[in-house]
Amino acid sequence: MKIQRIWACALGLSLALTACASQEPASNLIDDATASMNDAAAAKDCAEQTYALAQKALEEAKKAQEDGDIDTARQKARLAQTLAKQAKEEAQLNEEDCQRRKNAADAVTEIFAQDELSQVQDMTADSSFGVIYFDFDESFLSSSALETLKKNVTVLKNNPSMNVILGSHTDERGTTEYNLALSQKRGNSVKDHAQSMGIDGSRMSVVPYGKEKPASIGSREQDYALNRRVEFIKR
Amino acid sequence: MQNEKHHGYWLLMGLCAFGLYSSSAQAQTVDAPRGEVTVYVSSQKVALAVLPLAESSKVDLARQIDDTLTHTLNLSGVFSLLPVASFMPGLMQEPMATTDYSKWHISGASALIKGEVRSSGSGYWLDLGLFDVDGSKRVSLSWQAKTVTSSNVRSAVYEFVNAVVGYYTGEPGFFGQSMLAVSRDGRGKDARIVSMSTDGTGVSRVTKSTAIEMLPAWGPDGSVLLTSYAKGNPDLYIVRGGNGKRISSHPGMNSGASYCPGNGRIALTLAKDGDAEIYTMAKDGSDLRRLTTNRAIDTSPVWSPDCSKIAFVSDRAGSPQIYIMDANGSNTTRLTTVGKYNANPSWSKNDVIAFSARDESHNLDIYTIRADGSDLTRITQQQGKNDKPSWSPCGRYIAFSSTRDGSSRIYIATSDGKSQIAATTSGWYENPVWGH
Repeated sequence: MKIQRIWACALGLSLALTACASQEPASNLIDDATASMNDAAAAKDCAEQTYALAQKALEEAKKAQEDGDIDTARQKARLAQTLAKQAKEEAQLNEEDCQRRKNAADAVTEIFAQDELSQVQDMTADSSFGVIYFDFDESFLSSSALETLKKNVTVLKNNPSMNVILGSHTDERGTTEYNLALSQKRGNSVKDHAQSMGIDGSRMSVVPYGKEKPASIGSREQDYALNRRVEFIKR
Repeated sequence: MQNEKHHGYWLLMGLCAFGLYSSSAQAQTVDAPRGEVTVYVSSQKVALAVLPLAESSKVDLARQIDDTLTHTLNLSGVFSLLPVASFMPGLMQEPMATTDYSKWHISGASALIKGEVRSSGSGYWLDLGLFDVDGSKRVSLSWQAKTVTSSNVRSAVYEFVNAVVGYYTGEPGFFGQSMLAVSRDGRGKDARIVSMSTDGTGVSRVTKSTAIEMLPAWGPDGSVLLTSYAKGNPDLYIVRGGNGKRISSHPGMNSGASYCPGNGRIALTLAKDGDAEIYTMAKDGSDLRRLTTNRAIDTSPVWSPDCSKIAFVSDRAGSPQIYIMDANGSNTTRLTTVGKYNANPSWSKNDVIAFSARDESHNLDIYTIRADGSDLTRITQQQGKNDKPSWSPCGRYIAFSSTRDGSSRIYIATSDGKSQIAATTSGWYENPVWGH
């Protein structure tokens, strides 16, 4: 790609390399943006919105080029490349949660094929908040859980009048009441951390459900991972 | 032979009356309040032939009577029902009045049940009889032939079966008693509390609420205690005649009530001070007293029969285990030491504690252990998920839920686990709680 670009610049004769960057042909920029898009393809499911925006920008760049509107083509191609890179970063930041969702989606397809009883309920309680997931039999917050909690805390800080229920859950293994107590502990753990991040405790109520409201019904590790969770629900 | 069997089942009376227990087939000497008693234990079931009423009766009710008879006699754990195919030719048409004992004997039966049902006025006339094949005689039971209707015929059959069980064990059967249970439309669906007869029939909702309900218990005077999300939080309600009154609504869990009729107090789990802790309170929710104080989970309290102690679950040692403490929270001792997950204790009249244990494969199984920590016994093994044991009032049977047939069903086991029969045959039921 770089060689092509230098080759194109060399053909330009009168142009210096520095000038070349700003006056780069739209086709090169579109190629670069396409490469970035391919690079970020894995992020497609994990940073859906940003990736979709990048894709839209790239299509607009291609259309502008066909129409001979080179400036717009350049501008849209650069935007597409920036968005593609952003999507990739977002996906990396969000990787653990994202992978769980992807696995669950895959699992759901498989489960439907073999088990009529299986279904997925309440995948996300509220789209403005991330779901906080836990390890088996644990109530401590992993680093990815803490990342999600930070984002949720930001939402709460940006909406000072908003109160939330911390709907707390376990997977189906174990007994009803011990699981209820374990989910209570998970909710308490999230509440304590959010308080330490500056959210008033009176804005959050822990409601433990134990294993009563699975997000994903099934006996796969993916189902269990999705069910061990605390959801922020606007009150 | 017959005498030995009778001795064996008479021992079961000893079980209930004196709190003694043994499943071994040898003679044992045991201490009883009225002096030393030598008892003979037979783990053998009585070979019983049940001649279908529907063979001789045109009445529609006959089939229902047959179904109730075979289901309850099976559930009692006392009998091994012979397949109809093993009856000698001619026996299927045998009338009530004449019995060919030698043919029944050759068919493999030690006992025989026959009956007659026919229309009588607006109802039906029903006679049921127990015949001692080995002794060649009809057994005289307290149960008498009677007029029944389609709505009370089931109760009449329960009374007959209870009398038959009483004849062989000295202790009447448990049919006609009620159970509470959790019902779902299927796996992972919302839980509702229902009551049912101990044979799994007559299921009805305890409330009309659409909220999630869980962890039922019998409360004062036949009321039901349950946890419901009717107002969002898992609060404790007392339900009488379908009407619920909220008696504990602290933030977080208010669950797992256990009521002691003797002292009128309810033990339960609250998380109002952080983690799950055990409290007792008066039956109206007043006079709250905290019994446990630590950063671990403490939950699932159950009273001992005399209400002087409470068994409960705690993970204070790193994994959930069963502990026993005095009713005021003092003198805590650990009961279970084997395994990494022991929960859901149920304390029998005979001071045996049944519980659910989770193994490495994360399945649950039922175990029993004496309250002094001796006689750890496994009741279920590799038969799906077996959970939430509940003792019968007399301590001879354990109800529990099992997924061994795919769907979750209520099973009734004898206390040694040798008989395990599904009480419910359709639907999804968990968490049985035996009543009186």
